[in-house]
Amino acid sequence: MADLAHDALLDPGEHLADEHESTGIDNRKLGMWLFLGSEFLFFGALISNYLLYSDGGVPGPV
Amino acid sequence: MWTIIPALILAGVAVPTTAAIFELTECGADAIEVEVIGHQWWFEYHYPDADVYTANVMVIPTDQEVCAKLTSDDVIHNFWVPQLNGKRYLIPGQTTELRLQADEPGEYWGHCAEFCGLSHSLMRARVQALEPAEYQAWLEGQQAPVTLPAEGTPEYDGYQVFLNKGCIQCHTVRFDQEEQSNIVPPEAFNGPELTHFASRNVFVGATLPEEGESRAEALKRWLADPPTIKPGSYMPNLALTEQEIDDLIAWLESNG
Amino acid sequence: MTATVERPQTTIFRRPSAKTGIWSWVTTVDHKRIGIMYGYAAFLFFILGGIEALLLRIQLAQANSEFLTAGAYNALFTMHGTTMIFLFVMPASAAFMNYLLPLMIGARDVAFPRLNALSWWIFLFGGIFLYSTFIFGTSVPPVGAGDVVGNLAPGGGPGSFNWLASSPDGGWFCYQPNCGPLYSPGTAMDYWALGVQLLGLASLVSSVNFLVTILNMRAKGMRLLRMPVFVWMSTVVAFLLLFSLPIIAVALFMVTFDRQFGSLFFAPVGGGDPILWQHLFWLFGHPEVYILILPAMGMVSEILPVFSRKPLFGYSAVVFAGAAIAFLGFGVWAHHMFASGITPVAQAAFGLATMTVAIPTGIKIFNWIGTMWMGRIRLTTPMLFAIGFIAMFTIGGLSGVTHAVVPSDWQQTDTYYIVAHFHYVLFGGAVFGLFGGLYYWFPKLTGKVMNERLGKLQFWLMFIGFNLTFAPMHWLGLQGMVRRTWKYSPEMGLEPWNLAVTVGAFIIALSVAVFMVNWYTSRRRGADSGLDPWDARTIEWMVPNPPPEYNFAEPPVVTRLDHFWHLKYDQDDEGRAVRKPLADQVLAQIEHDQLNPKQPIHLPNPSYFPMFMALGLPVVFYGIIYHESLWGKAMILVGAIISLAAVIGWAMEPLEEPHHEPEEDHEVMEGASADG
Repeated sequence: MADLAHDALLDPGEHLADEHESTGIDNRKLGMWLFLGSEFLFFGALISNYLLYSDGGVPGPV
Repeated sequence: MWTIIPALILAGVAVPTTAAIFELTECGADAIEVEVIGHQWWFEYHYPDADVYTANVMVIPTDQEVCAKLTSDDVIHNFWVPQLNGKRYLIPGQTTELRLQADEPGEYWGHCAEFCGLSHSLMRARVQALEPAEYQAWLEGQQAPVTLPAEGTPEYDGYQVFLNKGCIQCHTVRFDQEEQSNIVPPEAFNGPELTHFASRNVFVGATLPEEGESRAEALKRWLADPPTIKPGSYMPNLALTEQEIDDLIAWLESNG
Repeated sequence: MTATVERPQTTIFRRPSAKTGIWSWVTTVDHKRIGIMYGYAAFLFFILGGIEALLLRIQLAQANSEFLTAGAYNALFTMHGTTMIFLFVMPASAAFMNYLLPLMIGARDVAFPRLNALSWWIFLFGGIFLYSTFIFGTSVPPVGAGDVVGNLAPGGGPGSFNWLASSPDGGWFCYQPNCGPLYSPGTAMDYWALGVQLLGLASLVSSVNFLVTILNMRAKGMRLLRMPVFVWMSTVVAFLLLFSLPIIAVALFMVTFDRQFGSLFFAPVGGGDPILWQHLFWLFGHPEVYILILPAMGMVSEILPVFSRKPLFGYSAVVFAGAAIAFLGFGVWAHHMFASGITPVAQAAFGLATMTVAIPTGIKIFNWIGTMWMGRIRLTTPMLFAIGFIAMFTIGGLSGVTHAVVPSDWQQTDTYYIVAHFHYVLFGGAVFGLFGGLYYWFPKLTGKVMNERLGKLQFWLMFIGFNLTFAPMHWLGLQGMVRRTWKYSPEMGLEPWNLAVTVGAFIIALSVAVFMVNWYTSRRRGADSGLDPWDARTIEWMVPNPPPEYNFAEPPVVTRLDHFWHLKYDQDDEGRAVRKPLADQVLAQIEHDQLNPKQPIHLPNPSYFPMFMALGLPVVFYGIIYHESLWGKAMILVGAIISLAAVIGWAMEPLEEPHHEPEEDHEVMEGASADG
């Protein structure tokens, strides 16, 4: 018992490695990549807004 | 199979839908143009060929395609006269188009259909379709300036109220006299043009007079305290006396 | 055991250990407790949103009513929409997902328990921040370009309740420029923009959490295509959130900058484009409506098979249809903008795209009906709600198809016809699904069953009230009644129908009161549920009711879809289910084993820091609203420091506290229940 706790404190990674990961990718890595995916949309929206409107274009619709 | 049948139904619906979109959108070459300008909380109508400005009641000829050019002075509004066509936004800084055509003479009711602030629910519209000859007569009548009232009449007193009580900050009236021709308010602000006020059967965003009320009664209520009738109204309470209101009504109603 | 190791014992960073009492709820990272808190908070907001709706309906019962001032009316419909969407349906779905997802996939908790707590606290504080506008917000009519004074009558004009008008009143959709600095001066819409920003953040965080949980923490044998449909729908919803929330975040940043810092993104006078806001808003807004409905669809897909005693018809089709709806949902946003002057080509394209969404939706509906077909139906309350869902959602979906016909939409948009459509799919759909889920999983949560008679009473009252409220709205819209309208012309003859609608709304309120009574009395005095009250199919029913803190003593090894069902039932030659003779013993053994784990179980420790990190954020946002004053600037600084300090504490605290003695583990095993 003490060993397990001891190891956990000194090396948390080892404890997490016990976790069963169905995709084979570490939880934290997977989470970060998913978050990055959403950041794609965040900056994509900002950048495409800039590109669409930077030439002073207020389009004239029908 | 349960997937294919809905898909086929939708495909069948899609074809006439797409055709209708194009058909109903584009204005033909023979259309007459009317500009519709949205304000908080009334519709302004401008006939560019005749250089006529009016408000709340849009008059059009029957059996004639009308191309409404829509824009707004402030926020996004939406012009909707259900019996004549679907609705279209009025967007500040842009111009949109809407095809209208009345086959029968009559009066068609409309409403602003985009939330535009405190009195959105009081921003209504009327379209009057007249036979072409009547329409011409109406247009010529609108083009003519009005005459200054004679001194000593209640109409004249009403005209003085108009000049001195702040109305000219926002409202225009065109006269046939040199010295008082076109009173045009400063750029920043305009309310409805009042030259031929009496020729319109509704006013104040096409909400007055209410059912069972005379024009004079409605005008009395309105002129006494506009913000209590139209929350947020840009026309403030001018603290007019009853006499001033009566005179003003007399003058306005004399401009047919 | 002997502890021979020296450990740093800092008092600041040691993790809290309370298991009972208020502090244990504040520091909890247990998904079940977080789910319960989400649930109660969401229900509270449901009541608030419902009261807002009732006030609106009282105003509309008469044509020229002056029950409310115009400003109060505008604020109420803004807050009704905002509350119901962001503070009720989304968090209620989050409540179910939080509670059920780990149980349904055989996990102990979610992938990031402290992050889970963070989502909850950000949501709670965001909701409080948004509602604080009733106290702190200001809303004034637009200042004219000239110096027009007195353009609002004292007391807000005709009507009462004007104090409500100080809250956000630009609509939940905040169209520009009406909702910008020129035409909505005052702080009310800033509270709206920043409040929704906060709530979006909460959902984004939890979507990452749920995705990692579902993808990575499934029990052995729980392949993706063996997961319950609810888990699949939650996966799809998490992807929708992940990709749509950033867009609204960008839009809200832009509108906050327009309002607070003088930018001109949406102001025509500076070359800005009001329609840009609409594109950005609906790029989020359309996936949002699928976020609102898919969890309920998942719940219905769980309930129907159980009470039809048949497996879900076409499981794969239902799953893929859900994914298809979400994918297509990103391509149809401008169908909210058909009247906005976009080109006819664009209108045709979006109209056609919208029609295609009907196909996967139809697949799901046909499959649900196929599930019930020839099944042995038990009309329990959850089943009534599930069937009600199918019927009401179909009606709403059909009116949705009529919107896809663009020229027809030019008449329908911005009228009560649209209000009817989305309430049929959101109330008749999502809310009915949520109530069905509440009745279905109540035993899981509490170990008791809800009273069936009160449940059926609630269902029928709600069903009748709902239809009386929203069916006439189709007619009202086609007769010309526009949306967001404080008054309507008495000459239009719409008063009798509006009165009927108002009566229906009060019947709904009555049904909610019945529900609350049922919930309260069933928790106190309801009959015990036992392990498997509904004879269910999925593995969340393989833990006792309510579950011990650790969920599964030993996660099951899943052999097929509806694994639990197949432990209890065989199929005879005609394909009918035959209960195994030893089924009851199997259940009893399962219950015993779950309560007596053979090995010590590690659970994530509670933590203070998620709450503190969440606490700093609204402080920063208050500061942004009042940034022109000194104390506003101070609040930005203080809030940032609080959140930053919490992040550091979070990063530095030990991942777990050492377990001191075997006795303490034994306490954990004895099942400190998550039930509150």
